[in-house]
Amino acid sequence: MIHLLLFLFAFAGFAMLCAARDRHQRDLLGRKLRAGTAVRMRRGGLFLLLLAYPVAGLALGWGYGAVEWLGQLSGGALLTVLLLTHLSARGATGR
Amino acid sequence: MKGGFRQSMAWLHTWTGLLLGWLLFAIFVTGTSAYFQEEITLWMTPEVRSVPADPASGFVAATEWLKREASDGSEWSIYSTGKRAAGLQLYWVNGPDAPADAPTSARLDGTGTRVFARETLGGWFLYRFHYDLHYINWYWARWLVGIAAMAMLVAILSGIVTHKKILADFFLLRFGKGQRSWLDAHNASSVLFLPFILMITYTGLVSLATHYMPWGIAANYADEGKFFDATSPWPVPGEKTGAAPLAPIGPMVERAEQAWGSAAGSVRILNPGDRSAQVIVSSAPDAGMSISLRSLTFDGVTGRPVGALDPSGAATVTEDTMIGIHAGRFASPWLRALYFLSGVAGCVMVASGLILWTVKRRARLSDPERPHFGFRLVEKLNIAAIAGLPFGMAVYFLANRLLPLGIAGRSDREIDTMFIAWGAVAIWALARPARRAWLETLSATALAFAAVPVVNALTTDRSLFTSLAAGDAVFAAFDGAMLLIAVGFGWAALKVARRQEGRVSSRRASAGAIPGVEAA
Repeated sequence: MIHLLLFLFAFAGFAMLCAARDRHQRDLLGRKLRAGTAVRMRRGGLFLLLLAYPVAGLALGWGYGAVEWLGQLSGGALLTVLLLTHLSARGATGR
Repeated sequence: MKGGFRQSMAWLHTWTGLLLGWLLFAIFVTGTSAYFQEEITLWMTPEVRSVPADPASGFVAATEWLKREASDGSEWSIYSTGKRAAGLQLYWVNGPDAPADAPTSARLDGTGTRVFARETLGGWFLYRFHYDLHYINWYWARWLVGIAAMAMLVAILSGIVTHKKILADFFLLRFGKGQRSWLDAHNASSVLFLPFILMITYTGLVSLATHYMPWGIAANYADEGKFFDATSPWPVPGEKTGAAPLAPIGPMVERAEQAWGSAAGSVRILNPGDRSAQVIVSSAPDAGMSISLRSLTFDGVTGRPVGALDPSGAATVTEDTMIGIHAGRFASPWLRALYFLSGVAGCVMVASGLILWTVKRRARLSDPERPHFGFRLVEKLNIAAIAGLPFGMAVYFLANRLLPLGIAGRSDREIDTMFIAWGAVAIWALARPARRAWLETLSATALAFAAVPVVNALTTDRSLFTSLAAGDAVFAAFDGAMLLIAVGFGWAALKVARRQEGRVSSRRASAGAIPGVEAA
């Protein structure tokens, strides 16, 4: 359960970081965000990624938690990238 | 000057990566498979049924078995095969009266019943290959692997410098854009998995550090043997002094496990059935992050503890924890899956880097139909490595099922078959035009992996359907993984085939679409 939670933190965190980017917003969200929203999105994403570490450490032990946290970050980032690739390819053919 | 530094780093990245890339690919592929070496071994010994069992009671059952079958032995060793593959591996040294060809090892299942499995080195061979290679002396093999790992570290660091827009391009992965796509795949696999890739390279070097830098040991110990005696003592049985019954093993294992708060992994008994008997209980290698093992020694007659070993020096603990994180034996299924995924990303990183070298240079060839010798060599070696090794591994699994069970040196024949298949792909790649060779070898690899579950179903009673119905996770997952890998290689072959159809037009289009070279 904790593993899934950590994965969701990592995925949501990177998805928010990605959505905060000008060049990815249209692909990921279908619209442009206002500047203030993008900044909040970036801060929120970073916060989730960092928050996942103490959660992992408290639940799994600090050593094990650190290893799993880094692994989960990579997994979450990979899913974000694949999702973005998929959405932008669909957007390119749809437009 | 800024461009000058980045350019020299790009040069370093290109050439260290290329020169050792083929060896690095082999290390990454076999090393990644080692995260599931217990499971691979289980699949390769289908005679062994994995019965969930309590390791502590397994040690007791194994001792009873040895009392019956090797009663006059001078030394018994009982190894639990780990929490993922319930079972016991026994070794013993026979007494002086035993015939010279008397057996000295046996495999028991989780309940302590002997099983006769086919002779194979299983997943352990692939694990050993990733740092000892094969057919060449392990001493020089480790030097080769170490040079490759050092080159890897250089390539990672120079790659980070070379990759200008590491944050701006963080999420970019564009398909169908020729060179741009290869660069994206190379960047994504390395940047997203950078923590793993840095860790695995650095800790890999640490794990063989005393091999590369023996001077610390040489300065403090008369020879390497004395160093290993001091850091991991291995007592041997002394003279027998007269018969006395062996105290029960169960309470000793229990006491050790309570003292450590973690599971025991092996039990050694010196001079069993003698007054001088000693029982050494050691912790399990998969119980914690550090690979250093703790042990408790008991008097074999009274059952009282007489000694303990608990490695605690800061340097040793650091080294052993680094190696532990490299090997990931402690990892639970979820973390193990992440380790494996990261390993696959490492393989993709090396392979895409090797391919990128040719893709970048093909656009600049003066006559693309007749490339110069160096280009052709790299192209062919890429095929030999990237399609050849996976093909060899699939054939290794097939050989495990198809070679006759009784033949002499069976485990070596399995290994030979793997290298013959790998070599065959290399020769094929040399003989055929590169584009045809890519298509043919990738298709052959896809077919070979797809054949593994089929041959398994035909030669054992543990087909994918039976395993799924019986809830046999290891067998079902192994067969499923083979099919998934087959789909992956089939997809790659299809991509190559599509590119060949529209070869001329797509080459012009993609060469025109590349705005410039951004990274090496």
